[in-house]
Amino acid sequence: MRRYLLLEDGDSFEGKAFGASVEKHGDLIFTTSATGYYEAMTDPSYAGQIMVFSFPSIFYYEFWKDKPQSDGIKAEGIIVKDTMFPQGRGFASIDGLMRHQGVPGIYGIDTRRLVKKIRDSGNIRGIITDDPENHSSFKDHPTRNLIREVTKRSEIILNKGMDRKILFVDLGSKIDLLEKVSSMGETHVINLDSRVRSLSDYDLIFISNGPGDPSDASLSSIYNMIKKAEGNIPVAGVCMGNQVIAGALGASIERMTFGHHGINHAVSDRRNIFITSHNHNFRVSEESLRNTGLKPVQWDLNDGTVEMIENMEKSILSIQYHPEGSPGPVDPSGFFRKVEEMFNAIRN
Amino acid sequence: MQSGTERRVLVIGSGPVVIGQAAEFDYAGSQACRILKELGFYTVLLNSNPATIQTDWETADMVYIKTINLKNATEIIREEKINGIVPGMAGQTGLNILLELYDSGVLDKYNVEIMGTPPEGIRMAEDRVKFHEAMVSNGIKVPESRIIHREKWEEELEDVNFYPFIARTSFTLGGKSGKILENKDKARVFFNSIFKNDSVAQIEIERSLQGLIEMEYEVMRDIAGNSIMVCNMENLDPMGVHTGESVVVTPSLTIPDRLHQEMRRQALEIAEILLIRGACNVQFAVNPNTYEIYAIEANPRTSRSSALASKATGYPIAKIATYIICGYSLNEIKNPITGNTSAAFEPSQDYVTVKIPLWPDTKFPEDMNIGVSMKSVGETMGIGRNFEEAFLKAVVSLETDLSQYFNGAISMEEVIGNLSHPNSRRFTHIISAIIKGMDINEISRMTGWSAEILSKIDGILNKINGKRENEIWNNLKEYKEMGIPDRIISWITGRSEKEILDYRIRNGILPTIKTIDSSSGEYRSETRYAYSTYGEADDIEPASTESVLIMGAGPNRIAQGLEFDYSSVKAVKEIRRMGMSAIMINSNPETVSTDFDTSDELYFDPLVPEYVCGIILKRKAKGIIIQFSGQTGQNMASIINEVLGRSVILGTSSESIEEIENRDLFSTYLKEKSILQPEWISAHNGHEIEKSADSIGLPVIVRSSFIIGGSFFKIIRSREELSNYVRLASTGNYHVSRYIEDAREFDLDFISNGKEIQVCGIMEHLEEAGVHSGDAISIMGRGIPEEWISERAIAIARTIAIHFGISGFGNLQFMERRGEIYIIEMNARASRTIPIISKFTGINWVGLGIDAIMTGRMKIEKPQYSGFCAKIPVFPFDRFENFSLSLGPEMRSTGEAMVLGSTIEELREKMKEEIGYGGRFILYSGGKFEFHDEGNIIGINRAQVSSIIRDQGRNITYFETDLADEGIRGMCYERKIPVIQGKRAFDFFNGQSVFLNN
Repeated sequence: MRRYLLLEDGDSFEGKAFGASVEKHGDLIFTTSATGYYEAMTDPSYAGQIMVFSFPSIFYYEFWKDKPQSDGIKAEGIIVKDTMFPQGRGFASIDGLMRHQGVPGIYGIDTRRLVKKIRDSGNIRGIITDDPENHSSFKDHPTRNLIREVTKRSEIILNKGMDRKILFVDLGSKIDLLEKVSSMGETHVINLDSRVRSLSDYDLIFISNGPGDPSDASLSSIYNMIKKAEGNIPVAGVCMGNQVIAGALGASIERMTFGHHGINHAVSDRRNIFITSHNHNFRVSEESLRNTGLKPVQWDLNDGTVEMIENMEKSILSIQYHPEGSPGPVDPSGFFRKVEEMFNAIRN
Repeated sequence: MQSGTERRVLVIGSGPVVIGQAAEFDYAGSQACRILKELGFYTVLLNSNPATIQTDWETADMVYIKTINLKNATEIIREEKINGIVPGMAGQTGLNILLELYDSGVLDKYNVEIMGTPPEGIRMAEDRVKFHEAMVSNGIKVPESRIIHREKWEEELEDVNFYPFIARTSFTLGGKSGKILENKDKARVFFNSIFKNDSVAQIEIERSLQGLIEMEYEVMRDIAGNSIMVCNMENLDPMGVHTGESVVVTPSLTIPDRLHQEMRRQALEIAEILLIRGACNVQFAVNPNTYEIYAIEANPRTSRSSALASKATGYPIAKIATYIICGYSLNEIKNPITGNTSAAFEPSQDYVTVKIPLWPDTKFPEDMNIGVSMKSVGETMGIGRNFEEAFLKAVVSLETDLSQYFNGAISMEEVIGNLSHPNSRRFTHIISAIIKGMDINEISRMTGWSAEILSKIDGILNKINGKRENEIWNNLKEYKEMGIPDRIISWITGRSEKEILDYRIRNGILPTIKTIDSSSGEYRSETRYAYSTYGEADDIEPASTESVLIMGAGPNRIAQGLEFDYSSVKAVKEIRRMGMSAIMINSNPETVSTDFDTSDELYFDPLVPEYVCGIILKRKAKGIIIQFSGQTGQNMASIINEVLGRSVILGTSSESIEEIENRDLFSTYLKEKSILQPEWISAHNGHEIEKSADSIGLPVIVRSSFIIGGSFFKIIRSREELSNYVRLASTGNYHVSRYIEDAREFDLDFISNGKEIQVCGIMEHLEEAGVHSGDAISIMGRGIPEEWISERAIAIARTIAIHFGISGFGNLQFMERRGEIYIIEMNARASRTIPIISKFTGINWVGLGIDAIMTGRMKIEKPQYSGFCAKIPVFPFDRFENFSLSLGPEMRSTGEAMVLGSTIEELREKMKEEIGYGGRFILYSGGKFEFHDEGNIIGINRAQVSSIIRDQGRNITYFETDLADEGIRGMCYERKIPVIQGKRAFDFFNGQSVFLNN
């Protein structure tokens, strides 16, 4: 069966269908990772996005060999070059899962042309449809609150009884991030609508990754929480968490042309370099950090994007990339260790 | 290095091409020299291999073509006031010489800085025991291992409890002399025999991980300690098959991210433990079900794998490693392929590459089982937009007729018999099994190839297998977009390649051009490193300047190797110098020609009409130069012309090539011109061979179109040999020619514009005519050959060149006997000897040849040179079992060294130094045996010969002229002592008779 990717600018791609037969709309992003496809597809940060794999033969091994990062596929749709479905076992496995979870896929299209287009034109929306003559219009798709969509989990407490208390703000966390953080202490996982009675009960506030726009109004309560915590309780964050922390403390957040998505990005602390796993469309503007007390300490080597910020006096440390890997290198620059040191220091 | 002092760097080369150490070090070493020069270092090179681009005068400030040994390296360090040494671009040879220089105190004495991984690191990587200790103390898992000593091996063997294990010696090239032993009984037999050899004091053994997945990681680490993984490689053949013998995919396909990340992390840690500066290759064995990972070994240098990784990703490892050893950290270096991003990143691919090894199975057919020891002599790489396309492109790039494996002609018995016993036909038997419908899981169980991979191959082959003709034509576009090359379609369906190609061109199904940019399109890049695929958008537009394609020589194989890469790279440079755009097409990942920096555009595609014609059409090229591609281009010339319908071959026309390549036509021509040639007759069966031999008279050389009794060629001297041969001969094409004994053989290379010729040089073989020109030691210099011989040979060459309108290079092989010149063969292309002649004469012959081809201009002059040079072939005899060790008409050498001398005596000494003949050898000449022992000559009898061979074993190089003595031949054969026929060579080395007429 044929299936189509229609772009906002009128361009279109024709390929073959796999996964669910359902029309989907989303922002196009591409990822360059050649492994960990299922980990990426289940990463809640990809909610609302149509995911293009630049590596063509990505579905080689069966999906269950990867560790899912949430309760299901979060990307809106999947686009891949590989031409030989359904021969591959891995391809057949993910096809079944996508049908079951209502996620459409297209294979056999020129993903390199698509990647270059996304790279050059930046943020671009697309519609995946089986019917190119009769499909929804881009105007039919209102802005969604993606964070609420992916954080339906009720409040939970992990590792109860551990010495230190962590308040984990779940904006759409990957499972491995939550696991890493919660291994450091009793972790109270809350979402956007949770009420926190007393911040002072906690030794650390941790803001997770998540989908969508970090300046969304729905995040205002989190912004306020961070402002209150500043200087009183250690604050740490990852990915969107990083942007939210910076934003709350007065920095401005900008949308990138096509973002960073892959497991091969080098960041530098001006002494060493680290190969890191990235998935972000927004970034903290370096200039705007000037009066926030936050200082940039790691940058992307190629475009200079601020990748880590800190204010050690106020025990604030946050990171733009994914120290938990999944997929990608695990904690190459020792972020989790530094977080631990930070709240150890506070207690002593 | 202290600032202020002039930086004078010695780069070590890897010497002659041998199995396990080939063109990849020309690639690495040339890159290193170029970067060092760019950085303003005075760069000195030591390499004995004349076939390389590295030893070209443009590569370094000073090039020493000399034997690579401690003495010569020390002399150069002293004379050139060297203060830095680069050992890491020359394989094992480089590391060995570095350790010798270091241990002997030379580096200290002359204050030479080691630019690269320090000796402690090298030792840790090379010495298995140290490696294992270092790994274990850092928490990295390694297979159990132990040392078995000569004195108490029986005792030590008792304690070993990890069978099966692999036994091997350290410092190996390509894993030589490794053996897997399954149980105590077999181990006993093995050690019993190996410790009989005096030179073996101990053997290291280690748990065999046979059957696990083998993975490789290519790591770069800078002096500041930053490290990255350039790529990982999945070996489709499991552990137990040497990585050089394995089909390899980049990046890995079946390894989940978690397992991959753990290996990657360990690889970076291992590089740190080994104090790596520059490049490092780390190998793992992994069980994907239990997640068990064993670190197997690490190579603290550039390697065959790093060349493959560079070509697969576009990330030039040797180049970046050179910046690193000069003190740059990764983030200070730009990624050369994008020009605008940092070298500190990990390349991503939006395509798949597959490497397939090429074995010399027509040269050593008796021993083509593959395992832990390396036997392949070259490799091809296929690039595709899916695995299937990459794999099949690599298959096609082998330039071998494999149709029988694709059309089902191989019997099921043969297939099944071969699947579980890996040999050089392994992957072709896998394909056969798939075509025949054998169960994928069963094939996977028998071969260790993953079922995921096999199911993909199954999927694509069965797209066209058994399809009706109509379906094939109607769906051709779809098949091409899935990645099936024309040649595969042709093999499966029986339609000719030309027919498929014509159909596609008529219907506009042409390849599209994708580029390799190391970032999957994430960053803008001006890269012109490209490959062909189908059904997508082109990444680049044709160059605005006039462009010329240059065909490379494809995978290295015996008789077509590095020498052709030298010439094609020089050709590219000349085309660029003329202001045209030079486009290279080649399929060999080891080479300088497939460095994206060499040409204006590089197409990494198979050398078959499909891609060659496709690129000419897509790039609107003026034409293609095929005469630097060895036989590859000659075989393809006419089909290219027919398909494209115009004269696209630049240089000698395809019609002339046809007439010269066709023995009947060429022979008829020679007869017409009254030019002598050894008398010959075609035959088609045993009876006709016998009749021909009778009419010509023994001895004869028989050439067959397939392998009989171990080779394509056979010299038949007696009735007995004749009847044996006839008994083996089935119906086919044979060529029976008179074998002229006691003749001298010569190689004449020339350039022509069809009107005049310019001789580049004449080399004389030291062995008698009949030994393949590639295997003969040959020399060139003042007075060689005698004036009358060269005059007559040149006159013949001129006649032939004018008649056939030779444009560009010609190579004439001839012999002289009793005042007569006989023509053996003519080639309308550049020969293997061009690089040697270029280096000896100091003349850019390829440049002049290109000039003749492109403009018809000829500058006629007699090259002036002083002194002498010799080409000395090297043989892979120690790798193979069960074949005749005597030299003959079948070429078996893998590479060559070159030595120079200002007098013939000096040349002789240099030759002995290179060959290592200085020590001991036995000479049988003029009916007498002589034992030469470090300059002493002792006359001996036959019985003494036997005892010397028995007692001194490997230290002897045996020369023999009388091939009838089967007893002595048998003894040599058991001990792998080459038997060389050719009286003149012995005389030359012995200095007894003056062979030159000056």
